[in-house]
Amino acid sequence: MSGSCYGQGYGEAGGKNLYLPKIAEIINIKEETKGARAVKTFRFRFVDELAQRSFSYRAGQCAIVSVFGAGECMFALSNTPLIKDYMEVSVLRQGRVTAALHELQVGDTIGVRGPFGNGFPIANWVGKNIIFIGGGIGQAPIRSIMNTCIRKKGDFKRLTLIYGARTTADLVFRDELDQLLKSPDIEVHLSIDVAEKSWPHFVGFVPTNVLEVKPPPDDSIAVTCGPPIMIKFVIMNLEKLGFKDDQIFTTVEAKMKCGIGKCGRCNIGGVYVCKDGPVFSQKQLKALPQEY
Amino acid sequence: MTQDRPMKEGLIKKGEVVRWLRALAKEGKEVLVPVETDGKVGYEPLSSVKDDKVLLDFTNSHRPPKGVVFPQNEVLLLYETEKDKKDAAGKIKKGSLKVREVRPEMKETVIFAIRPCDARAVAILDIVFSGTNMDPYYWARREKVLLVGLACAEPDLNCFCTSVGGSPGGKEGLDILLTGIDGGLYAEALTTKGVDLMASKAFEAPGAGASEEAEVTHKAAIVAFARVLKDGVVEPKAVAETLTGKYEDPYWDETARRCIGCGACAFLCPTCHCFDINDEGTKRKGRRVRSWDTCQFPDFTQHTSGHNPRPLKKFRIRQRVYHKFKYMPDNIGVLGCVGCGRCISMCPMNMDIFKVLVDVKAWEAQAKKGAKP
Amino acid sequence: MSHHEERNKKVREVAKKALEDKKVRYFIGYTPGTYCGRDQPVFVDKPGDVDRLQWGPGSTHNLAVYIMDDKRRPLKKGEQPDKRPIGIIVKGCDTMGLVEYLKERIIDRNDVFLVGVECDGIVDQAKLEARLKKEKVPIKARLDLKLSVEGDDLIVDYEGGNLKVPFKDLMLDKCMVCDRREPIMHDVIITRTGELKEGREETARVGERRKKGRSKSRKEEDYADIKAIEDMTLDERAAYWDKELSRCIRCYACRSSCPLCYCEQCVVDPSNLSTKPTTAPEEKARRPKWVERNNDLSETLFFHLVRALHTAGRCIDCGECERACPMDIPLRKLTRKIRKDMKELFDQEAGSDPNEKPAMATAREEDPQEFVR
Repeated sequence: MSGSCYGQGYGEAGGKNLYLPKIAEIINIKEETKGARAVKTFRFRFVDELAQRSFSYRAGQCAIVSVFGAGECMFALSNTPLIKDYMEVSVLRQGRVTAALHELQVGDTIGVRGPFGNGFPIANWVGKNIIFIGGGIGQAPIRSIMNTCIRKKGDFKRLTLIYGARTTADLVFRDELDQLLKSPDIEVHLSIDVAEKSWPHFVGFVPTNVLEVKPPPDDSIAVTCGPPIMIKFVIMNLEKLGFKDDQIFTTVEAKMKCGIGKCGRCNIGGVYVCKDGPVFSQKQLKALPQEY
Repeated sequence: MTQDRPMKEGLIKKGEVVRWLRALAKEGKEVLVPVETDGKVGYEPLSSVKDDKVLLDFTNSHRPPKGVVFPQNEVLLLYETEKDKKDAAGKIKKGSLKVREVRPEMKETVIFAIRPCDARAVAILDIVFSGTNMDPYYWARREKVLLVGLACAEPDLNCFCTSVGGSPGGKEGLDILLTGIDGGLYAEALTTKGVDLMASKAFEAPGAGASEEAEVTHKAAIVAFARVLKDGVVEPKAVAETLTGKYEDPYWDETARRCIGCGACAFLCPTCHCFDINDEGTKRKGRRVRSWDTCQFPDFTQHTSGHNPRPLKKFRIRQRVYHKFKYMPDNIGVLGCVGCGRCISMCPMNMDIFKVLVDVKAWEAQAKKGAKP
Repeated sequence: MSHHEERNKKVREVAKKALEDKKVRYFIGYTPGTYCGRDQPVFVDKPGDVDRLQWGPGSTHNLAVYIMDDKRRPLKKGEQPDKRPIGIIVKGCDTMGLVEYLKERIIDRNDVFLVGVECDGIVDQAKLEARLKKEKVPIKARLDLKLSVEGDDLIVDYEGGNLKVPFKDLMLDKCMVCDRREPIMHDVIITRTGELKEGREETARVGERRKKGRSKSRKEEDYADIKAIEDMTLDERAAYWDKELSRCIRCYACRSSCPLCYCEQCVVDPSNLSTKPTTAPEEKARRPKWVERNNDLSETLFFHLVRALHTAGRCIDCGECERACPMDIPLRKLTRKIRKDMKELFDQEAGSDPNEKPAMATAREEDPQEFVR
């Protein structure tokens, strides 16, 4: 062990510094929801053209966004990686960094490092039905994989989206959802928890809607993301419908700092959520200590 | 003071040691030596120490010299947004954001008389901070550090390195191992850098049987572990296996009750490596710093949403044990503990990780008994 | 039966009865620790386990520190709050912490069932270990010691021998100046000869004792070391505290072991335990960061000085902070300076009367007002 790894430099000639963010400019900000649970989608590009061109990621991977002075946060990249001109993260205003991010304007600069994590194993899903099940802000990583599958719809059988939020004001990507409702590429089922005037779709929790839609398990993959309690019941209901553990995928949330599996914060059992996740199959999750 | 050819083994008289170290310092190296200050042993720069203060006879330093390769605070980068400027036409040009990496710069540093457990811990940190995601800050320091080990003649009360795959004469992580024998310190260069360090007239050829004498010193120390004499050796592989089934055992609840949730154990541990990253400064100008953190602090895993995956002490102390004795061996093939015993000596409430290992060993024995037909 | 054994017998009797009668939820006491004759805190839930309890010169810890943890434990689903008290063994110094809790109204007197113990002083573990080393007590024997007091001597029994040392040579510094060897508040009390006396003592007696000026075992609070620092010039004082506090590793052992540091949101502790799922984003976003996580001297000074000031009128000098500190920082010098000031400025002494108003929440006509112009 002594003398190991002495050869690898880290400077210009050798390895990269994964702690060092590159500078990106915000080119668009979209208010998805307002109020206490405000969500904004930030669209950004690296200031350096080469950095932008060489940035490639898999759906489900994340980036760590720096608002210098406030700190850093890990967000799922919410647009499909097939779009090369920009990246998007959808941010719920919760604490110091997200509040600082929400105060930024188009043209402001942020730091971005990544991509981190494992992404969805989309290559294994070719030829299958994919059911996307999202709740609230959990739709952000779903959007990435969903739009990727839609663009590559020839590779998959039937695509379904089951998405819901507490109220209509909490639905994110509303305009895109309205477009998708009309699209022949994907079957969309929306819901809100409590009835509202002129809401034509399902009223109830997302897990309940899953049972309503009754996606068949044969040759299917389910991808779900949302509040932990929703995920718990969605998985329960998918199992009721006959889905096996290796057919269900979710993203795990954790407090993260370094993003590269060094600082120890997101360590659960034998994995680091930042590095080995955030995408896990239910089969993998069951093998982990239930500390997430 | 260089020899014609490098030596692989040698003998240095105790009286020559400081002279050798001062010569290394004269070459431009930083040499850290063990000294006693206010009753506690610590590693200090040789330049600030008198010859007769350099210790060769001590059990272990109060704090491990981990801070040399992984300091408690480290600036990762500096950021600054330049002020907005007005151009000739009176138009405001927004100041651009500049981010600058801060590279650790260190002289070649020799840590003299590091104990085999602490050196082994550095070897463990080497693995932690490499892999597919190399940590450049760690390596910028580590590349400059040379470890000259001093084999233990006498373990401390809470030492248990032999229960975690170590030994008072262990060589892992070291560039040179020195062992006290009749006539001086028997020296073995274990790396090319060690061979270079030993290129000094201070080292004579060892007598015949010097290496065997050194073995005797090591063995004498191995049988002197109080904890092992009392409770027997613990087998770490068996520990990892036994822990698999004991995750939900009420044992963790009971053990955790007296823990007060401070970070003394982690901050005195030679292998603990968790850290936090924070921005210090204003939105316009400041620095990003990483500092030691510990899974024992209640907010370590707390999400901004308020959800905490480890809300109770029992989850946190269980994580400490499992991470060191199961997750790390399963993941990267090394234990996260070198048996230095500092966490036991420093805990104000007598949390005792060796006792936990002994209890795990008892579970294993129970399970074996139960498994018999 | 020696009075040690008699006392242990009574402790177990009292705990057993209280648990059998279901008068308490559980008992917090002391049990033999894992090395060098120290005790460790133990939580006894079942009457069958009371034999684990003991009380002696190794019973250092202030068990009151566990009460707030218990108070804050979230109820499990469907769990009804249990209104029964916690049984807890308290020495004179520990009781004063509970007096402060009552003053600050964070517990009710009926939340605790206090088993007071008359105390002869507690062993300083560091001094004991140094003495054992000096007397060359074999290392294995040092693990299992039995400590007892005979007259003015401490008897250290170990396998193969024993030591008889004047107790004052190995006593904690705080015990040397202790004036409350009899706890002032208790539901039952076990005397130093092992007698069990029933009945609650009210602290009105304390007021009487203070008015009379002395009680039998009272010693003058010795502030000589504080006066020595006060007599230093400002520069000397700054140099002294810079030197002592630069060792701080911000492990928060001091804060964690202090019963009075129970704030979930602490000004100088960056971890904020008051964040819950219901905390508004606005609050989390705007929360000021008073101190950074790094242990630069400036941050550390801020931590310790502000913390010391927050002990004004509250610190009972149980000494746990200094004992818990792994870096031997003389924390009691800071807190005792505040205690001295409180006595001189306001004639106030923390921990004596639960019916007093908290000192820093009280303004009296006769308070010094030279700063008012």
